[in-house]
Amino acid sequence: MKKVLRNVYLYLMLLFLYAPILVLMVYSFNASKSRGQWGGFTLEWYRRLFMDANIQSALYYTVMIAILATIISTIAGTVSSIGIFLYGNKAQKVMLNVNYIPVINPDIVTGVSMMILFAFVSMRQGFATMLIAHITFCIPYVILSVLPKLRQMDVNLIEAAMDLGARPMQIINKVVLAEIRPGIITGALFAFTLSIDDFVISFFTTGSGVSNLSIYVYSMAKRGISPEINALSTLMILTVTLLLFIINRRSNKKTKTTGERI
Amino acid sequence: MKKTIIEARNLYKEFGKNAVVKHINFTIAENEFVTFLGPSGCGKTTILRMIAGFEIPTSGQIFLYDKVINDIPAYLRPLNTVFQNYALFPHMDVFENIAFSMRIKKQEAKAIEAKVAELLEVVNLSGYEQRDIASLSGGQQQRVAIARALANDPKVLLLDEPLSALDLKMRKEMQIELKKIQREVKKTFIYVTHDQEEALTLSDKIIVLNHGEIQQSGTPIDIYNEPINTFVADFIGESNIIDGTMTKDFEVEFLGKRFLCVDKRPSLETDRVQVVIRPEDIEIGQCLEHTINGVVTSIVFKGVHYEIIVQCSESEYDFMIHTTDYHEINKHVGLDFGPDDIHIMKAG
Repeated sequence: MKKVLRNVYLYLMLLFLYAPILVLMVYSFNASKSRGQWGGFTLEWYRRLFMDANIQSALYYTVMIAILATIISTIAGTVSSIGIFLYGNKAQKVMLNVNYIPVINPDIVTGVSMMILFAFVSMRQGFATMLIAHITFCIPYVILSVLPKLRQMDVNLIEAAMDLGARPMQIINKVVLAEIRPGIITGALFAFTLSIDDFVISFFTTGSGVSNLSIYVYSMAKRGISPEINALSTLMILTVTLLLFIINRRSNKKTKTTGERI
Repeated sequence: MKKTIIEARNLYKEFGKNAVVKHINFTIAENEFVTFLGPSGCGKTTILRMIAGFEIPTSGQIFLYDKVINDIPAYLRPLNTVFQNYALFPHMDVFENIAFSMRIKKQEAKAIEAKVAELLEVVNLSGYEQRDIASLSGGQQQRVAIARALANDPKVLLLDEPLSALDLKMRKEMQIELKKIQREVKKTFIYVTHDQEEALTLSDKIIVLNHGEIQQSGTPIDIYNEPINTFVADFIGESNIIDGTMTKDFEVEFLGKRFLCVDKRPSLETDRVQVVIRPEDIEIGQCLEHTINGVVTSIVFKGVHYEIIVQCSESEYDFMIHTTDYHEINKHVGLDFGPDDIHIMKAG
């Protein structure tokens, strides 16, 4: 009995969480324009989605920004992690806390402050500012996934490499990067997901003519929810879910292999 | 006289305010197997790390032949280290681990392959080239670590407690193996351990350390038979240490009796000395005029021998004796030993 109750509770929770998304997904295949009724199965909205020039441009910006922000923030975050790691233990803790602030900061605060900053340095808002903003909020996540890998690494490996004739740069290239690669990849996936996902910060840091998908959906929704939005949202959800799935699988695999090593 | 390869002059190292190595001097000859032996915290690993280049001496010099190497970074020193936890690169297979230093030097692929094969032969792991590091046992990882450290043809191989992670049987096997490898590759080995038995088995020369100072250095036989002070006597094997007095040359008095010995009266202001008698040098027999008499208080079977504690009747000093004969508890016995078995040390 207790077990049944527990399961009912669990499924109610899941239903509560996922019902809106499911409804949205189902309606993206609804032939009727009205939200109230089911007019039969159609892929019309998906077809229209891919015909729409605005959506294509939004998709272009989203993907471009996500790719560029991922590459730049992954490199910057990895280099910073190595830097932080080379500090003493105490400084490491301080740097980690500093790194946490942007993570727990509300997006709206980050977005507005970035906007003010761009105004302050008189930068015209557009693609560049949005990209900078994305890089900024991605770096802490990269650090969060790379730094633990560095700390897990056996420091003797660095000494061993040095002992075997490797100069500092060679040590980083041949040993350190290889050791922390799983962390770097996870960080990059995180950055990519976050960048695709972001609305609030993008909204405050972009300029006229440059909208990513989330901004475009928002502006479409202001004119009334069209079934195209459902289709677009469905695709976005699927993309992000896929990425999250990959990240999770990676972290599971990681714990397994480290477990073996011990 | 062999050529000196490594020399330390007035070597001193402190961490913060904490002096770890205190103005020590030593020389190591070519092709010698030298062991730094001491309890944990005696500074032995720090000395090894200074030779390797991972720590910079606070003062003093380290010489390689006649060149001071204090300021030469570790990656330029022709010395290689076998680490306590092996420190093998987990993302590389056995071949790549051993080839690492040769790849850094950009050697030809053919030469690398030949050298790796040769080294695997030396450490008895031929055919393991493609194996994953994680799939190897501790002893096998140890062998790979040794092969990797030898790949660069180092002038000196530094070994930091390399066998401490292995179980007893494996450790014994590797000891023999190590000695064999050293003879085969004809290199200077500098070894660090807290295991006195390992040091005695392997070394040509032992340097005993305590609190960052050298207590004694010499061949294993010298150190075992002629410990210079109570620390060395106690650390190297079991021993009975008794306070005594030199009455004249070749005669020492302790526990109320006079014994012949092989040492002269030391030219010191005091005649007080300490006497060391190894447990295996004492024979248990009947109570006689010239023997030290006491009662057996404990007997423990140790495999090869019994470890017997005999409490001396007059002074309550507990003697430890190793013998293959069985003696009942509470039995009155006499302890006998010859002049050769009595080692005289300065009173500590």
